[in-house]
Amino acid sequence: MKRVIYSGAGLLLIALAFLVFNGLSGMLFTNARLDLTEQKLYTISEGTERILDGLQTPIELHFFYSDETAKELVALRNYARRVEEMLRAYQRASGGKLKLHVIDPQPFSEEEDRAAEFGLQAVPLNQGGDKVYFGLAGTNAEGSTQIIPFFPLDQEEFLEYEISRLVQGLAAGELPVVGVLSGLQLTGGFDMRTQQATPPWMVLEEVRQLFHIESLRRDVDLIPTNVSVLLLIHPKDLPEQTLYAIDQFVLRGGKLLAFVDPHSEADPGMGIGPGEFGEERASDLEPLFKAWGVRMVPQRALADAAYAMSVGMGAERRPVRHAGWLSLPRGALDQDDVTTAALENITVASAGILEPLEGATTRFTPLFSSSEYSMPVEAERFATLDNPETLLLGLEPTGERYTLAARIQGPAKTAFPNGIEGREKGIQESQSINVIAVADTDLLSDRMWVQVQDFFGQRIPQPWADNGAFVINALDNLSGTDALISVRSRGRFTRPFVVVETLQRQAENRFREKEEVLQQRLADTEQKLAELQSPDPEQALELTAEQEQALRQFMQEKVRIRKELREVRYQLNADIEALGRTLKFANIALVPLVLTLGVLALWLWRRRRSA
Amino acid sequence: MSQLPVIFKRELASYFATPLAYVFIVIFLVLSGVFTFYLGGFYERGQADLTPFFSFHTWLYLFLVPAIAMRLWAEERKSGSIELLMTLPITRFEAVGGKFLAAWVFAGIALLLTFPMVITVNYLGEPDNGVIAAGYLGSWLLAGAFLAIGSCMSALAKNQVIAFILSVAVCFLFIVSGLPMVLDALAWAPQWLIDAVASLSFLIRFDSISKGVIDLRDLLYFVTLIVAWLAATAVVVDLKKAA
Repeated sequence: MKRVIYSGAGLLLIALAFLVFNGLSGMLFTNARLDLTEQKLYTISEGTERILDGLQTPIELHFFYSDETAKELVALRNYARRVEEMLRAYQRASGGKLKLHVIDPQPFSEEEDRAAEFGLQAVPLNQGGDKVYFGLAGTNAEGSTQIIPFFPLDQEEFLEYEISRLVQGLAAGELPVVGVLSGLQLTGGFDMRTQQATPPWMVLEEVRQLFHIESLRRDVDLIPTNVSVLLLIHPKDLPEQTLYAIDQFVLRGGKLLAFVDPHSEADPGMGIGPGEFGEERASDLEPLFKAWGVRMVPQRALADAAYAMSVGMGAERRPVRHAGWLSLPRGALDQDDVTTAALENITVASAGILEPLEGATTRFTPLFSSSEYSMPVEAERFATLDNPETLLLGLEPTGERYTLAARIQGPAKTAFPNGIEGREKGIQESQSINVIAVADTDLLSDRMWVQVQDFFGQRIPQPWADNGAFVINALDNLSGTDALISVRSRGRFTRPFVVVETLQRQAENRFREKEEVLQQRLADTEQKLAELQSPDPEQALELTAEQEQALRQFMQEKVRIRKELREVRYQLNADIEALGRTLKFANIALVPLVLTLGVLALWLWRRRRSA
Repeated sequence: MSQLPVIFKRELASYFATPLAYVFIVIFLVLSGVFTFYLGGFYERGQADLTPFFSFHTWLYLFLVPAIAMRLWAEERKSGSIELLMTLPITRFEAVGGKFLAAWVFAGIALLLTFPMVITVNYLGEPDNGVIAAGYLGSWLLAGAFLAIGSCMSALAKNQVIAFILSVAVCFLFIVSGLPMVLDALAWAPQWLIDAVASLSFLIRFDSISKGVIDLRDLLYFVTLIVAWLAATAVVVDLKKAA
């Protein structure tokens, strides 16, 4: 035996044993994994288990994956294996209520027709026309279907959520009804400014996948009884009958998710260019809010230096921080409320301020709050704001943290104690109303939270903020289906360099004032120059010697100020670059240097000892 | 295996007896830093994770690890000390295992000396340290796999340079076996063979570990790969002794 092992045959034996063992382990240990990620991104979560526990009727899942065709695509193959394993984990956890079929649809086969029937997308691989199916279709006992047309490879962290959402959709039988009353063109429309058709907002598409949407007209006089949550967006000058309908809906136990805004940038307004009045783009729910013990501070929007977002200013201009466009981090979101607890960040633009009224009977729980470095500004300023930097310049933090979104719960009375004209008195009060109010509508628009990628005609959302998740969370929570929430908000999109951001903020504060002073001096100098260069026509055309002297001085002054200004601009990033250099040094050269010195010292010591 | 610790200690000490080991560590640290910051754009990316750091390890090891491994056996053979080693009352496996473990621990020390990277990301932001730990484990296993191959190649060749070139070549095969260009060439083969070849790739196994999930299959892959190549080393040492 020993002779066989220590021979060429032994080598072959070793290779074979290795291959066979790994082939077997690939088949046997499909579910033994240690998930070291902070949010257990690769493990079935409790929320999913709850959804699976709640299954009443059997669900069949058909996982279509063109195994044969995807031969050479290792990344896809690996991901497909992962999806399949996840689905098998679902099947195991469901206790037999969920059945999985794995299908490799061959070209021109019955299975391929089946996949197409479900509405799955085949993605062409190459010029030759090979197509890969990599999607999921689920059916329930009632025969309704839900699909994931294609699993995008770069969104592994949302895999569980997507599958759970599909299962949930099938389990619920009938989807909860969300009534949508919107003053913005959520369903897409025509943009007068760009002269182009606009696609439907992604947030609506997301809502549509989990809820049945019922569109309501702005003059509706009764919210239909089948509506369980009313999604009210940008209510601008609603007729009294509509306000009354909302009032009665909320008092009779209907749930409301309202988005109001002192200045909605998504609202095209009446005019075409910038410079119109802000009020046209404002919306409020004033009489109803008052009855519920809350108000949105009128005509005021919030500027916040700490949460200001960097916005691009077009080609060849450096991005500037916009104190009205805020990226609210975890710390700004209520960690105790199920709708916001697990979110990472929410972005808002020219948001308003919500406040509880004195003597309110309801409970006011802030969901989004500003930082202490914020202050209210005229909402109108946003309408004419050319340079967002001016906002930061004039910012004098009040030290107060303002509320941008809140949950309002508790006993409330009607806003229409006498009813309205032509209608009899309705419900007068409720033991507990359930409202979530958000003082910004822009967070709903695509550009604030999601990039939509066109993937062979399929619109694939790639969120970079949690705005969409918040809306769905809020609707889920209000409509009473919140098992999915814990699954949804597990992905963490970004882990930014906090220190660098702070440095940037400090540098900006430090140099802003200096820049302002220099800009002012430059403007003065330029004005004086202009005065000198265009002399009064009544005076002589020739410049006097003193005037020429002054002209030259001003010219020099201008050049100098411009140089200083450039310096200041350059300085802005100097600290950040310096930190970068220090870190590069620490990581590339520090340890090698210390090691080298240590070795040298050791060598010298040894030599001296032996000498 | 009672003699294994003895061999291990002797070998590990021998690394630090010459300045070569320090030179190796310094080169590794400098290159990994330069790659992370300049090629990977670590600072400009602004993300508190070590993706740019780990993503170059496979390629860094491809050249550096065979350099550690090449002397394991080739030197013993060239200097003739292998005869002495073989006359000692130790088994082949103790000798092979001890030498390998010493080299592996040495590689681990070099890897641990990249600790400023961990401090850096934790200073700059809030990284997922579980993922980082998994990345280090994956990287160390990867180094072990390279070393085991290098050990076998070193036993095969009498000349260190040839041992180096051979191990670079074999390691390279194990890296690229998951890349489309290789699998394309196998288009004629049955699916199970293609899958088998793809499953041998270091790149894919290392990737999935450094994402933060330690799959038993990936772990077993690296462990059995190391064991298999070490067993092969023992066989080769014995064969060569006979020759």
